[in-house]
Amino acid sequence: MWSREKRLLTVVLLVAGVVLGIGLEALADPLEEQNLAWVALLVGLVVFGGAVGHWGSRRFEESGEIDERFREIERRASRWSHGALTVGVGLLALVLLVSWVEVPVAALLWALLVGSVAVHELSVEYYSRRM
Amino acid sequence: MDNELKVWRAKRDVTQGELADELDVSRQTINAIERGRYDPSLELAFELADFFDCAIEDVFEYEEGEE
Repeated sequence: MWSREKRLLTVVLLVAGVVLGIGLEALADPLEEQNLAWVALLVGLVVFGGAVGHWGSRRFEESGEIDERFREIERRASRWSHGALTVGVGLLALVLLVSWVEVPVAALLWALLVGSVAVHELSVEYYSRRM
Repeated sequence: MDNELKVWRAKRDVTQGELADELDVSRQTINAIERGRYDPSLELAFELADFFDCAIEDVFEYEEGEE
């Protein structure tokens, strides 16, 4: 498996998530006045992320390393990342609903999104070594 | 689930990589089965038995109460 590449990807994603979260929070105010640019930027980022993810998964499928054990590892890792994302979003929603604390919602949502990918990759590493 | 995969592989003088290629799985999967870290699906277990031309219980041994 691409252990080294995966670890590198995890670090890159984590750094990108933090930079993106902080960057978007800083950009949010000026861009809110020009709504179209704001939406275009977000759509562009999501499409870019999707394209990179699609390219990565195609490349991995072509490597011929996907078999039943790998699918089982992926299934277990998905359970962790899905759980982390659900708990994170749930906590954020709870804070927004029942408290008066001002939280940077955009930054936290991006962090949760990227964080769940990182949790997934780390779980894959863990189960790859255990199974 | 215990298995005698390593013994059968040695008998036939087949490497993990060759067996993996033959069964269309990764070498890591064969290694994980041999070390008892991964229990294969019924389909893969039958394919392994077929490859060695033996019964599935010659390769794998199920002990009741095992997870």
